[in-house]
Amino acid sequence: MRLLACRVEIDVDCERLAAWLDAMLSRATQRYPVSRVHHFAARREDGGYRLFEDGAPAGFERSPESAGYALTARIHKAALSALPEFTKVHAGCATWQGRRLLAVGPPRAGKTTLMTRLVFEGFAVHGDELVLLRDGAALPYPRRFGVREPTVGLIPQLAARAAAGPLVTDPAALGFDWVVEPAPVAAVFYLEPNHGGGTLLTPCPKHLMAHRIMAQSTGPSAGKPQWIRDVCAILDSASSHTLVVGGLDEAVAGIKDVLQRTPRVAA
Amino acid sequence: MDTDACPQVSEGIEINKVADGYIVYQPDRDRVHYLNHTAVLVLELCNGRTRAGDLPELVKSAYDLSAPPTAEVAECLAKLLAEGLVH
Repeated sequence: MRLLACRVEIDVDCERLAAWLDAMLSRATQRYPVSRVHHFAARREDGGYRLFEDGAPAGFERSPESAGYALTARIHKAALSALPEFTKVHAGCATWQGRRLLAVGPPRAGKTTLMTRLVFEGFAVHGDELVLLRDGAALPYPRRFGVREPTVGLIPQLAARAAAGPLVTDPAALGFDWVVEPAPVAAVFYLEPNHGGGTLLTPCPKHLMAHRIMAQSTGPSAGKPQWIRDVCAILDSASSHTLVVGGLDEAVAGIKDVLQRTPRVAA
Repeated sequence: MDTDACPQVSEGIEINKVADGYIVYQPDRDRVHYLNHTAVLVLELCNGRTRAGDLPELVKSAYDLSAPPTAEVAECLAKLLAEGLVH
């Protein structure tokens, strides 16, 4: 499998663990060059699983689930380590009518809920949690969406899928294209949750949005000056908004309205 | 600050422009500052040649205000000085 710049080879001798990993790991179409290969393995031993990363011991786990969690955490860490030159932002990312948006917000701001809803609203959704910034382009990180129970209640299309338990999904699993590639951003929304309340969309000054993005991101290996330049470069071509998310219908309508009025950004 | 003094932007700071402000990185303190329009204007006027006492009148002209915002400019300049962005 691939995770942006990494090709990941996984070798396990347990069908249950293999199925667990198959359900958790991304199958997105990724338009980004591979520059590294990592090999992960799990071997059954008495009482659990011995894990390996690139041939080196990487711990011992007692169940297929805990082995799966440990392996996926290592895989994602390796994939992100392959891209140290990027600023990494907590954000969802989607494109509508050729215009890309970022939905920035802290954990539990509603990024996954909004992105999952956008899947059914004609948006090409690329990611729900993490976006990498560099040279004025946003590269979504292709992680599957971990959907919490309240989200299922807000998106009827998920109800049947979630009946079996916690839901991990992605646009491809929901019947849509899932493509990940770098592109400039037309609009940035900062999400403020207002569960059960009203939705409000207002312009956000770009210097304030830069502050908010910095607070929700980690910088590149090149240091803070490059971090600031990455954030400013994204905002340079984008409109900037605060989205207080109450009702999803109003939030989606507001986002479409903004994007419709926003010029497309040339790649 | 003495109204006859001519404040000047500190050396070494890195200024990044966004549509409605500046994002300023100050390497010696490893700090990031987010400046709005007015702070940007005051910062730009700190060129080592403009008297601090003339700043309110210049801001008044720039924003077409009815009166010079003396208190606001003094507060802004005091913050820029305190943060070491100007001296």
